[in-house]
Amino acid sequence: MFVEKGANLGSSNSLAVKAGKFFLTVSKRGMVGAAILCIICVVAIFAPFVAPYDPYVLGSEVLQPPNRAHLCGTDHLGRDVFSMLVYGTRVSLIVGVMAALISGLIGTIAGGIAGFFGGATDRAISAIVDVFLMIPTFFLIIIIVAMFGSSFVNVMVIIGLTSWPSNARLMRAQALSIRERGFVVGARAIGESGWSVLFRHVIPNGILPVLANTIMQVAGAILTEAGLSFLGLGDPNVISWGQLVQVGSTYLTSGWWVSTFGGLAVVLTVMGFYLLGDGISDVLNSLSSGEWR
Amino acid sequence: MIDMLGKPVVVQELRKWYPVRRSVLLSHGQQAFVKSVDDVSFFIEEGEVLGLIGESGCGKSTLSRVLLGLEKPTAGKILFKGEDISEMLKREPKSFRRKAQIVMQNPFDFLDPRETIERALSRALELHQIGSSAKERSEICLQGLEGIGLKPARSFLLRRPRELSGGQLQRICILRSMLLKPLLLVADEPVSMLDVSVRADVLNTLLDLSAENLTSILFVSHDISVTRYVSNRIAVMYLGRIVEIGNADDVVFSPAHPYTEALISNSPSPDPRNKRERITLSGEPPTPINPGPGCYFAPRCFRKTKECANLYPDCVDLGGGHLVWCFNPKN
Amino acid sequence: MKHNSNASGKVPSTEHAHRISTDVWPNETPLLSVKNLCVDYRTPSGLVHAVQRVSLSCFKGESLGLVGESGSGKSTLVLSVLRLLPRTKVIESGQAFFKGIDLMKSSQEEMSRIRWTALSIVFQQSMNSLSPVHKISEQIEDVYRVHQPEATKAEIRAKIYPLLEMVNLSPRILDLYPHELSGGMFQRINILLSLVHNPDLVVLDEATTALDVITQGQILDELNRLQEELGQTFIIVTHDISVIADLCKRIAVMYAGHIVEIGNVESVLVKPLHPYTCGLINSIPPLTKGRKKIVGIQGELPDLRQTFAGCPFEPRCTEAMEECKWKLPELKLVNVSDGELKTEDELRQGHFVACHKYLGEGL
Repeated sequence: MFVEKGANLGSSNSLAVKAGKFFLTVSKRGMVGAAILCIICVVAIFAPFVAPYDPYVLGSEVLQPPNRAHLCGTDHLGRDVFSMLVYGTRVSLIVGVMAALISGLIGTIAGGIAGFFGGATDRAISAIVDVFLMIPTFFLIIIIVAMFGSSFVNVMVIIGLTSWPSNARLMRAQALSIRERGFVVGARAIGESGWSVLFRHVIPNGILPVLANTIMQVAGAILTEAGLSFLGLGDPNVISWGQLVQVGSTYLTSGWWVSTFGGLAVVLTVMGFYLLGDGISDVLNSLSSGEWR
Repeated sequence: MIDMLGKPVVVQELRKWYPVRRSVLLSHGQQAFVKSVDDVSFFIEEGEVLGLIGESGCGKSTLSRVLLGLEKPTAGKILFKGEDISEMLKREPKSFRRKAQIVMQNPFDFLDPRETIERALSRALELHQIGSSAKERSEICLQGLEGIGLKPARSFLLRRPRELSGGQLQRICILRSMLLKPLLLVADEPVSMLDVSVRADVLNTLLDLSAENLTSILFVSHDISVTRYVSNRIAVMYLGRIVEIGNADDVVFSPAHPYTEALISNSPSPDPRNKRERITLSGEPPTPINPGPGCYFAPRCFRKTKECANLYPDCVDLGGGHLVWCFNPKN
Repeated sequence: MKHNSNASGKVPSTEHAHRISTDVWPNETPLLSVKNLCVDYRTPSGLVHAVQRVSLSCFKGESLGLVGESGSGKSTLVLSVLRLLPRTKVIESGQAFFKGIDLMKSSQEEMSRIRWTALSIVFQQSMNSLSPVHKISEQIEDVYRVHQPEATKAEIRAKIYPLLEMVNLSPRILDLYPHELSGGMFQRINILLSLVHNPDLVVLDEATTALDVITQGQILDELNRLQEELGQTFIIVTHDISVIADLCKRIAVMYAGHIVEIGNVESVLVKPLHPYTCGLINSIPPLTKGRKKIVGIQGELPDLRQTFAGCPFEPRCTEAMEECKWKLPELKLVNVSDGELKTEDELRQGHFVACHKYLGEGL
């Protein structure tokens, strides 16, 4: 097989810009997902400007159905549901992103070390990963939260600490194949130490599937947090979507809008992530089908 | 072989055996070994190019890896200017790395596809503290690129491997190794994957830079005409052992070992008038699991005699540095 | 009576199937005649002109070699003729007459009938071309039965044994699995499979490239034997001129999608005319005494997405003239010194060059 010139002849556009443009043209689903998530991020950042009321302020207009003054109605304490949704965005996103980041970081490093160095280290880390994959993590999370308390930070950390094994598996597989590549030999030959090769060359070149997985884990974390709050195990001091659903569930027949809008917010966000994930796999598929040589 | 200590690269009775995992029952309790490199000895002078030819399975890749310290020998020694490299690796691994460099077959796989050429080149300098600042290192890279004919050098620095052609990239890989002024450069099939018309440039770059730095080169290849063009001396390997070694022209035009003869006769020629009778060898190229006793080539040899099956041949000195390990050498 | 129309609305004619004659093809008409073949690849960054107006002929018993480097278009050319390129990604035009039938206009069914019975292909050694879970004998029977579903095992064995002998394989290989074969044995099986239905023409696309020197030498000997004893015709696509020098009668040199020189192997390789051909031959270190510094060809391949008015080799040509920049040279017959040629022989024996240096000459 002869090596030929690469497809990018002399262009200096960074790969990220090209990928962005390409993504937008190839995958409509990806575009929709990205759009949804952009809106949600904007809402989270500019929450004080978007929300018409302070969600913590108790009001006198109790259990109002959606009307002009309260777009999504009010709950049994007079709080504006729409404002609660808006502020809940922050909680969900922060929990989701931070949990995924923790999971991604630990998983990448553990998987990278296991795959690249091999031997006893690999066997040890793989054993731990196998154990985690056997245990139903949601129940594990419930137990730990029940034991250690349900603060916002706890929830975030615990979700992160229980979801890293899937990233580790992915990174390990990547590391196993990348360590046979020529540039690993080349890096060793010019004198890079093993750790240096791992962090400078192996992990950056193998990170793509792990990145995609981590993005999907944000959705998973949001769902988990909503589930915990619904079960009453979330942080009672912050307003989250799960909490909304739980609060509204006690009077579902008389005030359907509280739970419903809370649930819809979760559904919309998670759907946004899945569409984005589909978009990424669409892009990867058309890359591998050779259109983009 | 008098003054071995002064020579830049000396290999003494090198062995690299890999144990084969077989069921104890089936192999009658005997441990089988893949003898990838088996009792190999040679030296390379300063600035000399030693060609190494042999087919797949002969052990040339394993030999390269051991010479670079990427694998430990099972037995034997490798000396760089008299110093054992396993000692050097233990004491100062980085300084050893500087002395032994490699260029491989696929230049696109040899550099990290995400890095710019500047990063790839200056990282090598940075690791060995060549150049006291980023600016100085950049200058060194620029001069290096211009020296090998890649102009405008500045534009090459900013590009990534996939934006260049195979020939350009391979020359940059050679440059990177040579910036460290190594003692030994192992060139493992450096042009086999490149277009024919760009090979000359790459080979000439290799020769120029090695002459400049007085680097010894081990040129590993299966292509005899390319090897002969580049090498001062040639060694022929079969199943982990060197079967013939001597000056390039002696080995190619007066081959003494039957395997070398077979190799040369099977080498294709672009001249259609040159239709030689090819020597056919019976059987398939074997794997080096427990070869012998006797000459490893005996099973396929067309000149074998009774003794070939029982004893491994001694070295026969044909004069002028031409050595062959055979009971029935030509001449 | 109902007609079964295919997608283009044409009714597939049953007479057409029988037009692939099993008679011996006459020696005077070309077995394969390509006329003005163009292939463009669709890519996100534009159309890549891989093959540009290529015309060539191959006669029975006279193997043709196609030599070129990466980007020359040689593999694209044969894949297009064999209709193996993905239809949605390429634009093809021109004609390719194989035994009187234009392959470029043939339907999938017609091509399936032609492939392997009359025209087959062997690719570069790829361990994926055979199923890893079936024995070699089963795979050969499988391929055989595609075109002759009624054949018995005994029939197939009778057919295979002489072929095995021709490619120096022992019959015990039939009981092996693909992973037990060496590279050379594997490639010989691929060659055998391509010959199973006595095709008129076999295309070898870099078939000996990944093999060791001695194995390649043996396979070249076997291919020569097949040519001499079975009268087999090959089209050899390779970057290695020596393989063509060994096996073929005619050679076509391709550069950037164009044929720049075509002629008999003795003519082109001994007295090359086109500067590119000269450059290629000079790039190979000679295995004769004396040491000559080899010089490659300066410069890089052109960007195939661009269309050039002039000769594509001009930027790298040491003998370029002014008109090379804006006028594409046509393939023209060059005076042959071996006496006069009859007009019918021109196609078969003549030495053609696409270069302005020689356009003044010619018949």
